[in-house]
Amino acid sequence: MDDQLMERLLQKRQISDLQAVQECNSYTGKFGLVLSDKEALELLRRRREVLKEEERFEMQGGILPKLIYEFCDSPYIYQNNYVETIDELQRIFYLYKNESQDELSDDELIAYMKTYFDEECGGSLDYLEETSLYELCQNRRTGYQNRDMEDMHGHKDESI
Amino acid sequence: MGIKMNQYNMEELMPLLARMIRRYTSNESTSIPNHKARQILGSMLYCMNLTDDTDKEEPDGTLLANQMIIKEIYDYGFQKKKEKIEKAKKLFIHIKESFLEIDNEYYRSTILEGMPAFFEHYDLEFDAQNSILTLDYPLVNPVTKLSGIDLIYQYLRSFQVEQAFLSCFNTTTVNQMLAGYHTMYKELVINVCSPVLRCVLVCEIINEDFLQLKLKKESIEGFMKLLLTLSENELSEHLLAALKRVLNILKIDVNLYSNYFAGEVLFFAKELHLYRMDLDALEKVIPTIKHKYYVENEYFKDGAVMTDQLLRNLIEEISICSLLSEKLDLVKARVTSLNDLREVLDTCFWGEEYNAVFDLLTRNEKDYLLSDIDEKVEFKTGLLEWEKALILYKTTRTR
Repeated sequence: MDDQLMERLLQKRQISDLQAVQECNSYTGKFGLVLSDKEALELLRRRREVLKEEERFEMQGGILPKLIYEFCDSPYIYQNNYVETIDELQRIFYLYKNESQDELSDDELIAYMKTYFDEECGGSLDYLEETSLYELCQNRRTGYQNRDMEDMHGHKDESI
Repeated sequence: MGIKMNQYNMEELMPLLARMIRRYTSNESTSIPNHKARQILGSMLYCMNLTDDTDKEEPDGTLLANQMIIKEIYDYGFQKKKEKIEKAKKLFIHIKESFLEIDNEYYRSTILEGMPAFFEHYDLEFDAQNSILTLDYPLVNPVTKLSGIDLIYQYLRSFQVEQAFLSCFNTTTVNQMLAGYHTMYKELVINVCSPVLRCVLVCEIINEDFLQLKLKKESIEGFMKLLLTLSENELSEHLLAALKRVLNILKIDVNLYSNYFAGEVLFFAKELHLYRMDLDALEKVIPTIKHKYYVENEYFKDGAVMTDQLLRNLIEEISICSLLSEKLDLVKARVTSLNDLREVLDTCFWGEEYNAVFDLLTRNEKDYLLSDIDEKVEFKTGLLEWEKALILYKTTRTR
């Protein structure tokens, strides 16, 4: 499958993907977060760029709605930084899908990201990207899994 | 891949790809690396490609594509490939059961080691186009333009055709002929069938018993005289006619084998015509059992090798013997393998003593040891003292 075909496939899905992102507004509105059509389109455009950079292929629906639903209640996200933060989060998400060699499922990775972002990182995207997730993937690769479980639950998980 | 993606509607292709990616990720990931997506799409299109199927009885792929939706074409194709895997497995079992003891590493390992690994690792769902094996053993007619199970199945079919032809000959004779073809035939990436076929055709043309796979120098000289009277086309006709006669005598499918070997026969005709005036070159083009490697009775088989401990004990015992006769008695009583004898010769005997040990050996045994020494000489590997002594022994005895 060449890059042109990838591009064509992604273009075909634009409308349905846009609808999926717009539908998030009805839920995120409760937290004072709303995306305009232009912002939603911009996020989808950025997704295409990131997917290209990270050499990944995404199916219909994509990860954006999941990220939005998961992060909309974060104390560090508000309307003024909403688009930029979601944009960065989706870039970090694809980066660490690759870094984890796809060993983390979408839900697992988003859950780690959310916990780190709200707790250890105090809302810092740089810290999330360069420290927390980096260590998580390092530990995964070296087979040392206790560290991330300890972090997730605030205490060492004895069962592992 | 014969199928083109633009044959299909993108809207139809996409849901099937999405379904397969979901299955691949167990529904745990919405994205996958591009190379994986390419691989899965390739696998999908491979299964949908029914047009280059190797079974003639299969329905026409274009017709199917016109009548079915993508999902149905895929499911149908997937099922067909699955059936082909089963057919290939059965064919492999059949080949394995009648496998010939040909002394060539690639002949043996491609089938006996490669095929089980292929069936174990082949992934029809997500990597169907991957043939996994490099199929090092070359066939008379190489299988091209196929991949995945189509390639493997066709390779096995061709291998079976060649093996059935080779089974008409005594395996020992075939091995001897291959030794005449090249001293390193065991390790060379060569097709076994081709030299046999060439020798057989020349034998048939000059009215010698082709089952013996043996041509005397005088016979080749006689054949050379015939070559000088023929054009390349006439020679091709002679060879093709000889092939038909051979196939009739062997009572194997004349049409199948005539077609299968036709290309090889024409190529052989070209080579013969090219070298028709050079006897040395002709001798290289026409493989035959050569006197140097021709063993009258049974092809040499080495005896049982003793354990390292027993060998060490024997070497110690021989080393403390003061008389040559005592040493020889121990060798006669205890050594049953030439591999062990090599060790003993290397560590327990010196100078003139070697000849006494060589006197204990049969001609076949000496020839066997000499053929290994020849290889060392060919590859300019240093010789041991006893090996130099054996060459000298052979030279002085044959004078």
